[in-house]
Amino acid sequence: MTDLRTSLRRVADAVEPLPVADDLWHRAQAARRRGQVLAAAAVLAIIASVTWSAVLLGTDDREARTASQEVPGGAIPSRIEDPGDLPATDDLAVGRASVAFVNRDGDPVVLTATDGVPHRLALPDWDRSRRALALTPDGTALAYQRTRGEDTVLVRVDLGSGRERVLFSQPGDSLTYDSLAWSSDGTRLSWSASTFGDVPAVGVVEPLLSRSRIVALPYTPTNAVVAPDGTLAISAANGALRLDSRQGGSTRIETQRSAVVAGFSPDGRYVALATGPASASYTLDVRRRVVVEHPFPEGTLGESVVRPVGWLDDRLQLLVVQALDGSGAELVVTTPEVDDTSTWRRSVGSVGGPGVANSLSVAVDLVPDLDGTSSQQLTHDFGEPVAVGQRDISWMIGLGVAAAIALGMALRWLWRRLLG
Amino acid sequence: MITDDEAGFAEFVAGRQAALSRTAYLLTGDHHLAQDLVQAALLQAARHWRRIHTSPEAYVRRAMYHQNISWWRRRRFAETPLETYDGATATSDHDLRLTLDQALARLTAKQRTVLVLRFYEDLTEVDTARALGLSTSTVKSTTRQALARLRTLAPELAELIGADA
Repeated sequence: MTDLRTSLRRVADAVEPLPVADDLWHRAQAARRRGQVLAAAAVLAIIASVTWSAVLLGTDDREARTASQEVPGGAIPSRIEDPGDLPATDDLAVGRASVAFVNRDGDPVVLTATDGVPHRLALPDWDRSRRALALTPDGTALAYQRTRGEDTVLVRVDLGSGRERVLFSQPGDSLTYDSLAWSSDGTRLSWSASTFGDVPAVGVVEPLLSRSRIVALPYTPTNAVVAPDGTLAISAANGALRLDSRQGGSTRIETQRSAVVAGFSPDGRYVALATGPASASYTLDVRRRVVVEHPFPEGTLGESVVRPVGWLDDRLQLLVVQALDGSGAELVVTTPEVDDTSTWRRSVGSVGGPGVANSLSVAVDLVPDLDGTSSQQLTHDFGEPVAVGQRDISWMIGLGVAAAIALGMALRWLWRRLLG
Repeated sequence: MITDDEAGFAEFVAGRQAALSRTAYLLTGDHHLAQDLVQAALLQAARHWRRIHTSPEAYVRRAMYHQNISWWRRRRFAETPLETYDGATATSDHDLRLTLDQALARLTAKQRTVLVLRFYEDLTEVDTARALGLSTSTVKSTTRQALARLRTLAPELAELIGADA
């Protein structure tokens, strides 16, 4: 064995010192820095994915999420569409809603304000043939009529707690509420009924004061809306408009155009009017007792059906405008008349389908105050909606991407180790 | 501007370059591979210099041992086919007899590395096992197999290797 050792030394001693690159140190330091950056990136990616997973998994309503971010306080979705088939939920505590409408199957749907997620509500004793539905302007409650046998009652559902409260009950009378509408401050609920006993009628319910007022009519109403001071505006099937004060005085307003009352402004000065095909929006000026108009700006919308859905303030109203050319319905913000300070802003949002547009109820309090710029977003794009009951795979995609990155880094490390 | 670390690394390379070169050659049997092996091990040492600067040589040597085996694993499919690998080379011409250097080249990297550590670096079986991350029994068996193969490849080296090895 000594000979082998000696022979090995003899072989080795014949080897001249092998050259070493001059920049070895600098190459090594550069490689070290690259490794540190890579390690830091890997740690950040892992932390981000773990945090993301923890947040998602820790959320009770994990499925009720959209691809886009949530909006604290809530917002009106920029696209209001019938989500199609949805499982109905009997848990009515879905949270504050931005809009409510009746879907193509005749069932009530709300979109929650903070995430834009649609919820098909299994409202107790909801009658698909009686589709009146009204969301409060702040989006916290929903009014509808509950039908059980011969009895019909008006119910207010608190969307925060899911609790219901009966607002008005008229046992024994054959009654169908054709329309429901909240006052702009949400303190009063007006209704109209073509058959209240044996006569048509309109009425007002004041939930906070637990009192109601009924006005029997000699004509069939198409709608009734109430001002914060209790004044009723009523539109008749024959096209006439009437104002009915709390003191009992009734005033007929002559108008050239058939219209349906749609909502008092907060100060009670105006009543927004829903109208048939026209190239303008129309508003009743209560003080002057005249109907004023705001023509659509030239080159914008043609003949359209206008349906006001609320007031943003004393002069700005939110309309659903459905063009007759089939281009679809959109949200428009405008003033009653054209003057030096008037506003007309289209494409605030889109509304999918006539069914949604005709039954839409909007929590207008969620629309931000206009800042005077045309770039201000009054609605929010929540992305593609993912309804409750549908499976949200966005978190899986995120984890998959993180896992792919981790796998790639592991393979790179293995490759470099194997190849030296 | 040269830092203390860079100066220390340069001083280590200058002082130990020859010794590392000799070991690298014995491990690889090829000057180019040996040069690559030394460079790779020194590059690795430079990356971790702050951690290993108190005893860099042990780190560099261990890096060379492992690197050499890794390279061999990568190249092994291109090695000489097995049927000729273990066969004795014809020795009718005395000038063509395998030298020890050439015989070492016919061993696997693992066998060669074990022999270099045991008989050139003078490590014990335990230290060799620790340096290579192997068990002591594996070092023993690998040493035995390596010496037996040397005898097979070059019977004229049997005396050099030792009959009892």
